[in-house]
Amino acid sequence: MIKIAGCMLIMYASFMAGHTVGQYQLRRVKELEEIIMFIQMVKSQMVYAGTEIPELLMDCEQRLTGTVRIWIHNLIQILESDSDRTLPEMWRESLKVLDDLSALPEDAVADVDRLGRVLGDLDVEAQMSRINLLENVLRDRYERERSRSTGVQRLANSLGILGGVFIVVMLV
Amino acid sequence: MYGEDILKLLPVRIRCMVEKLQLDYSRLWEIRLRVNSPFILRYEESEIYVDAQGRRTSLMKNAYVITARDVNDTLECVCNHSLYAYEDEIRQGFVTVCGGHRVGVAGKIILDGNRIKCIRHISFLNIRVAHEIKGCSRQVMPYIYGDGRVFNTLIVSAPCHGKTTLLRDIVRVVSDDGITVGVVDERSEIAACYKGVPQNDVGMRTDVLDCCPKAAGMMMLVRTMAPDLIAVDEIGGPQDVDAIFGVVNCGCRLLATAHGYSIDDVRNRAGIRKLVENRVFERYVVLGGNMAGQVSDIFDGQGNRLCWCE
Repeated sequence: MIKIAGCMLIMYASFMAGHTVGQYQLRRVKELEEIIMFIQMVKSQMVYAGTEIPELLMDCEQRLTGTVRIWIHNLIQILESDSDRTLPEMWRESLKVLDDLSALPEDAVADVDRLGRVLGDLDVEAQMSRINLLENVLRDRYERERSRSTGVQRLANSLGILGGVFIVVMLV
Repeated sequence: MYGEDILKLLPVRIRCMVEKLQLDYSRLWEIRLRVNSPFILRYEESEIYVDAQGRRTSLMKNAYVITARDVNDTLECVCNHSLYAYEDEIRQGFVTVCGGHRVGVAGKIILDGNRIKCIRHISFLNIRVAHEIKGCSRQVMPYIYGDGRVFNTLIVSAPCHGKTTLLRDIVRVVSDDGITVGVVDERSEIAACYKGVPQNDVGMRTDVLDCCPKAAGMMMLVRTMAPDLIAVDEIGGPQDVDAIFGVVNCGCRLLATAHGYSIDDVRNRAGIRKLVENRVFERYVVLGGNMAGQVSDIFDGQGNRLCWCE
C-alpha cells in the first residue's frame, strides 16, 4: 500500500512539474498579449486624447492584470518619486520587475525597453510609426509563442508523466 | 510655493544652481536657456549671469554654458515627459504651466504650406515668471466702473508697460463685485489657463476662452455665456473691429487693450480709428511713464481728459 501511495505521489509530483513548465509557457503568451494591449491603449490615448504619460500609465494600470500591471505600477511610483531623470532612464529601471517576475523572454523585455525610448517625443506621427513597428514585432512574437504553447503544454505534461513513470519503474 | 512652481520646471543641474542663488522669486522675471550660451536670469530690471556653482557672476565668460541636454531635459520637465500632449501649444510658441508661468520655445519651424506645423530642434527656452499685481487697478476703477456698470474702456500702452496686468485686475475686481465677465485669452496671458483652469485670479464670475482667436471668441462668448462684460487683449485687426461692433450691438460692455504710445497714436490706427470715430469706447486709459503700470491719462469717449496722473 505504501509503495503504491509512494508511486502515485511520485507520478503526481512529476506531472505537476511538467504542468508547471506548460503553465509558464501560457503565462508568457498571456503577458505578451497584455503588453500588446498596453501598446494599443498608449497609442489611442496619445492620438485621440493627448493624455500625458503619467495619467496614461495610471489608466493602463487599472485596465491590465498580472505582472504587466505590477510593472506599470512600479513605473508610476518611480515617475512620481523621481522627476530628475529622463523617461527612458526611469523606464529602464522599472523593467527590473519584468525581468524578475515575468515569463517574458529577454528579447521581448528589450522591445519594451525600446518602447520607453520612443514615448514622449514631440512628433506624434513619428512616434506612432515607431510604436507600430514595435507592436508588429511583439505581435509576431506573440503569434509564435501562442502557436507553440499548446504543443509545449502537451509535451511538458507528457514528459512529466513519463518522467514519473520512469522514476517509479527505476525505484520499483 | 511660488518658487517651487518655477523650480519644478528645471532639471536637477539647473535647479541646484538657481536654488543656491536664493532669489526672491517675486522679483524674478525670466529664466533664459539658450544652447551654447551663458545661463542668464532676468532679475528685477537687470540680467544675472550664473556660474556652474550657482553663484552670480558679472563676467559672461564665467557663466555656465547651457547645453542641448539642459534644454531637452527642461522641456521634458515642463511637458511632464509628454511633449506630444503639448504639440498645439508648442506650435504657438509657448507652453503655459501650473502657476501661470509661460515657457516660450524657439527652434526650427516646420511649415505645412503657410501654416506652422511644428517646431523641431528646440534650442531656446524662455521661462517667463507670472506676476499678477492685485490692486493695481485701484486708481482707474472710479473712472471706468460705477453703479454696477463698466464703461467700454480701451487701455493703451507701449509693450511691457502693464496693460495686460491692469486688464486682469480690472476683470478680477468687477467679476468679484457681481459682473459676469467673458475673457477671450488668445495668448493665454490674462488668465494663464493650465489644463483649462485659470492660474491667475480673474474673479469668481469670469469665463475664459483660452487660446481662442479674438474675433470668433467674442461672438462665442456673447452667444453662449451671457456675459455682461467682455475682456480682450491687444485688439487692432479688421476682424477684431467687426467682432467688437457685434459685441457692442448685443449690449455687452467691452474692456480691451491696444498697443500705442498715446491716445493720438491709437486714433490714427486704421482698425481702431473706426471704433474711435463711432464712439464705441467711453473711456481711454493711457499707461506711460518710467514704471510699468503707471497711468498717465484717462480720457472719456469725446477725448476730454478726466484725470491728470503723474
